[in-house]
Order: sequence, then structure tokens, then C-alpha cells
Amino acid sequence: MRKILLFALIFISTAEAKMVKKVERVMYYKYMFGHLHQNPSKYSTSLTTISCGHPLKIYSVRTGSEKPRTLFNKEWNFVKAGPYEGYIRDEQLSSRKPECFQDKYPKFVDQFEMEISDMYNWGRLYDLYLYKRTRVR
Amino acid sequence: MKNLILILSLLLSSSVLSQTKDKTLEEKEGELVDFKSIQEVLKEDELSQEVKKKVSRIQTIKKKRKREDLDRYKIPGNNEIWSFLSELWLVKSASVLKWDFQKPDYGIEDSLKALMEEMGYYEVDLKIILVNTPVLTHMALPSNKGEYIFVLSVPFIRTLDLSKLEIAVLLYEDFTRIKKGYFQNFVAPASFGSIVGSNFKGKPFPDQVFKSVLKKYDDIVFDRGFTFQQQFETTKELNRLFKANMKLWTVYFGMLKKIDDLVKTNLLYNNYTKIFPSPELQLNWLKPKKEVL
Repeated sequence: MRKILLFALIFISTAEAKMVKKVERVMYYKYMFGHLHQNPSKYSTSLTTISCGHPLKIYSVRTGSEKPRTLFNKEWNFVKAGPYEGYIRDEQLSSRKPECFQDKYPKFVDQFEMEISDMYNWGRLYDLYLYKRTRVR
Repeated sequence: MKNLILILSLLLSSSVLSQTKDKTLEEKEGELVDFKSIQEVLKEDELSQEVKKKVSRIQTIKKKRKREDLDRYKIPGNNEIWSFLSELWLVKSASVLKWDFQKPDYGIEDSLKALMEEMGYYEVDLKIILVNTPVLTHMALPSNKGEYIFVLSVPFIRTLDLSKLEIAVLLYEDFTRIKKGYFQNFVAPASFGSIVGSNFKGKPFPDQVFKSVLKKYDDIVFDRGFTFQQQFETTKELNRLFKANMKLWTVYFGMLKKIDDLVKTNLLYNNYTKIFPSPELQLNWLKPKKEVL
């Protein structure tokens, strides 16, 4: 029994050691509000709600001898926002600090006295929008 | 007693610190040195030019700060306000509209994109939110320039068993209504035009206007809908546009026929004709007139 436990411990520790993450760059959240997800899916649990202009550290992750990658499930970045590490859609990020509506019109937005639930829902709205941009002429 | 004095002196010093904290070095210097009282000395030292420069620099900083403070009270203009209001309405109506639910990927956005491009709309953003309720079947909401927000009911498209192209045509009909400004004209009160793009610094915020706008969103979406005249104009425009592509015209006609059958047989959708009067009339407007020889 002891041998099995020892073997399992060695196996887990080596498996963990193989996953290496490195901060690749900093990007900014570009919509009104958004969510940092636990898993790379829009239906996954939200770890925290972020607002426009929030800086996020983008990780590149290398597992074993694989090439380092920044995208998961084709469109999700693994990021760090404050104390949280989670996933956010690539399309929602900007490499430059965006011009945010709530920064441009702060007093106007304040007048609507948004509650935390409103910010959460606004972030969900941007999770669930089916979004497309028509091509350039 | 000593403690009280200590606390009071701490409070006083912190308030003084907080007042001076936000000021730039030049502003602080300007406050400390009264240049007028030492004008003669400065003249002799030929430093008056330097003082002038400093004073003008302080004035520029003050002006910039004043302008920045004024800008914080701006109300967005007509090109920026509509997406905010529509999304705010969607957020506030989340419990009624039930848009936060899991659904499969229908590929609706791709078919709408293809149709929009076919109709000549390039470089526009399309946002579709699916709702899990029959109370709102389909609608385009006012949005910023170059952007379109659509709301579409999953129970509605499932009941009708609409194809992707039929859904795209249905949303294109909503797009035509929003382009014609029916929605905006209904929800915006007369005073709205003078409020958007203005500044409310030193004035009370016109919150009643915005409350009324959001209330009217409810009215048009759930109760009032569009007029017969607006429906006639929309149908005629689509008739004209789709006649160049008979496939689209046939899809439009077939889709209206499906909706007409649904609203006549399914009680869940008997409110539909109040919002979009009426599929039966639309079919009649589309039918080619028979010439009597």
C-alpha cells in the first residue's frame, strides 16, 4: 500500500512539474464588463467580473515537450487578473489600452447606479453575444 | 486631553495633505510664492521673464484640469449612446428575457453575416443575443453607428423550425426597421435630441428622460410594437430588395407564411400581431397583383 502511495505521489509531482507557464504579454479587456472563467468555456463558472481597460497578464503554457501555447479551445487565453487565474476569450482583449465608455463618460455612467448584479449580467451579455463583423469591402 | 489634541492635529494635517496632494509642483510653488510682492527684486535680477513663463504654465495646467473636469460630465452623443442604453435595457430585463442559458451553436451569426454582406453592408458589427422566452420573438435594438444588436427567441425559431437562411432574413427585416429609425423615434422623447451630447456639470442630471426611454423600450418590445404603416414600408422595401434575388424573396415569403400559420394556431404567440401587424397582411402586400384583362 505504501509503495502504491509513494508511486502515486512521484507520478503527481512529475506531472505537475511538466506544466510550465510564463507571462507572455499584457493585454486589456475591451468591452464594458466581462468575466474571467474557471475553464475555457463561456458557460464555465465566473471567477471574477472585470471592467473595460482591466490589464491582464497572458500566459503561455508548455506541457512536457509540447510547444508553448497561449490559446485553449481555439479562442481562450489563460490569464491572470489580480489574484485570479482563469480563461478569457481572445476576441475580448486588446493589445492597447482601449478607450472605455465608462472612462469617457464617468459621471453619466454613475447616474445609473449600477449594482454588482448588473455588472455581472453585463459581463454575461458579452459572454453570450453571438458576434460577427462583416468583411471589408 | 493630550490624546484629543493629538487626534485633532492628525486630522488637520491629513486634510491639508489631501488638499495639496493632487496639485502639480508648479501650482504649489505658485501658491507659496507671492510674485507681486517681490516684483522689484525680480526686475533687478531679470527674472521677471521666468516668472511670466511660470505663471502662464500654471494657468495652462489649471485650464487643462478644468476642461478635464468638465468633460467628465459629458452625456454621450447620438453615435455612442444607443448601444449603452440597449445593453442597459437587456441587463435590467435579464430575468424577463432569460438570455443567460446554455444553447447549442446554431451558426445564426454566420448566416446573418453572409446575408448582410450580400446586401452590401461591410465592416459592421453584428451582435445577436438569444433569449429563452416567447415573450420577445425577434427584434433589433438601437445601437451605435456601425453596430447592430439583435434579440432572437430560441423557442420561436424552434417552433417554426426555421432554417438558418430564414432566420437571417427575419433578422434582416428587423435590421430594416431599425435602419428606418422606427424604434429610436418611438423611445426618444422630444427633449432627447438636446440632451445627448450635452454636459450636465452644475445642472441636475436629466434622469427622468433616460428612465422614460428605458420604459418605452418595454412598451415597444412587449406591447405597442410597430404600426401598419411602418410594417407596410418595411415589407415593401424588402420586396423591392429581394426581388433581385428570387431565392431570398421566396425564403421571405415562405417565412412569413410560417409565422402567419403559427400566430393563428399557437396561443403562445397570439400577441405577435400586436407587435408586428400582421403576417397575413404582409403576405398580401407581397403577392403580385393580378391584372384583370
